[in-house]
Amino acid sequence: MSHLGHRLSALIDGELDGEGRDRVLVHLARCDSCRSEAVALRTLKRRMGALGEMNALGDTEADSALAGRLMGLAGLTGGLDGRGGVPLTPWSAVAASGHPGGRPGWPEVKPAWYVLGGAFTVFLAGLGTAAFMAGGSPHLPEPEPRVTPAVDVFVLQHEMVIGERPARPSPSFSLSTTPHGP
Amino acid sequence: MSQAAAACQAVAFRGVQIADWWGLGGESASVIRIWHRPGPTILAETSSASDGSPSGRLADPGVTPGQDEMMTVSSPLLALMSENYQLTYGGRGTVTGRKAQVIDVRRPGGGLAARFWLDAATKLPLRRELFDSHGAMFSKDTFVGLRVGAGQLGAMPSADGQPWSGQLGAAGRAALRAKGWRLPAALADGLTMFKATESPAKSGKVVELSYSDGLSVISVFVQHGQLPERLPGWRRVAAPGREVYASDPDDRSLAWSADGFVYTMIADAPTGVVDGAVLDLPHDTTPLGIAPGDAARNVRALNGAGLNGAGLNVAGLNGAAPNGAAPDSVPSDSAAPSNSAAPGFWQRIGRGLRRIWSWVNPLG
Repeated sequence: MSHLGHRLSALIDGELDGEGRDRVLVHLARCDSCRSEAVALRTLKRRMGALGEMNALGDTEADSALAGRLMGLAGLTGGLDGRGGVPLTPWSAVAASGHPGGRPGWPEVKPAWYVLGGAFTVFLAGLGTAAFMAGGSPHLPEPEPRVTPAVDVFVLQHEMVIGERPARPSPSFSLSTTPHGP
Repeated sequence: MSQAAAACQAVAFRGVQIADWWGLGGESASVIRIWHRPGPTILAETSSASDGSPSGRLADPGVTPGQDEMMTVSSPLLALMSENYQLTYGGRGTVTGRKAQVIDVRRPGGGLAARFWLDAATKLPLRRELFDSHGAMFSKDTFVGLRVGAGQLGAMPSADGQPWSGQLGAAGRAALRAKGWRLPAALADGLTMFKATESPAKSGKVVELSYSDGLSVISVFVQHGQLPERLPGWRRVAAPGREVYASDPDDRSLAWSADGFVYTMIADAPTGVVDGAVLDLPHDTTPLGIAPGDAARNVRALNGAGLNGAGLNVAGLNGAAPNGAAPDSVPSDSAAPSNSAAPGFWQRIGRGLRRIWSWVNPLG
């Protein structure tokens, strides 16, 4: 946690001078946490500066936009070197603009499609891997269909084994217990 | 008895049979009207509690309509009966006023297994009584009305339903065994396969195997699949370590899953014989870890449980060596498809997708 607040950023950016700069330096000499934060800020600034130099050397617009987005993600404002430069262009703004700085002549693809395609690819890869793993184990039985025995049909077939055939039910069914001769 | 088998084919008759059965669920009875023209089939109409024909039901409220059991004598079953039992002349008798000749069917040890009353005039069976290994009668079929001759048939109804026409010969059974089907040629207690048919089904096909010793008849229906987690109308029978379900109080209609197949058994046999047949057929796991030898001993202990037995008490038994029943010509275990060959990439992906779908499918 910095005790210096925005004065630390100002020091790194070279915006302090005189008495204010001395007070900050004295604090840094005694405070480890602020000193560590100052080192981190310098490192970040150096890296951002390197990206800015690439942009300045005439690298592509896409790289410039990428650097801007990275800076936006890092929460920095005001440009690559803190003194202006390439304005930040977050994803939402890029999508709204409809031209994120893509290569000239290439078809325009909205970033949402990149996200969707990436997610689908990851899903397919995961499913394929899982299927490959699940399909290889010899200990897992092949899933069998669930079968409820058709017991009524089977009882009927069983009776037919000995030559019996069911008759179509008749409306009247009466017993006759009287023996009759041949 | 051979004359009786011939008469059941050649004589035209109609009549009413009372079929009594004493099983685990108590006494049950059916009233069966029968018509027969010369030929192999007999038309039968059975009364039931739900057909709205109170005149066809027995008056005793303690007797429930049961799985109909028609009495007849056929040549294939007579041949098996002669192999497994001794048939002796038992004297003369009378059934509902008709003179009859009595035939006793005895086990090799001398115990009475069945008794037939054959009509002295026509040789048609008039009564049949079946006894379990303890000598207790579990089935009695009696003609209470018999009219002989084509002129007595009256308004003969038409047949309802067709038997499966797909005969499954030895070559067909061998081909199925090579694909992992387990179709034993014999079961315990001298039950021998005497007929095999097949029929197309939603899950592929259903194979019906019919076994008999000449008196008991058991049909086993085998099809690909597994039983659903819920079986409305079925209850689990007392078979620790097994998941065997029954749809009737006498445990004569049973079903279970094993090795990716569903087995359904319809039995006209005493409890002990049904127990032995169930144990001779494949079952899934050995959750209690009993060795096959122990299983075989327990199978023998179960046989002959009879009417007073505890039913399917197949504790911890599994796929044991049949109790004296010879395995089929091709050992089913060795005929199972090999898993050693690694599946191709796309086969593996496809199998994995099916497995994943079976895991997440809420309706599966």
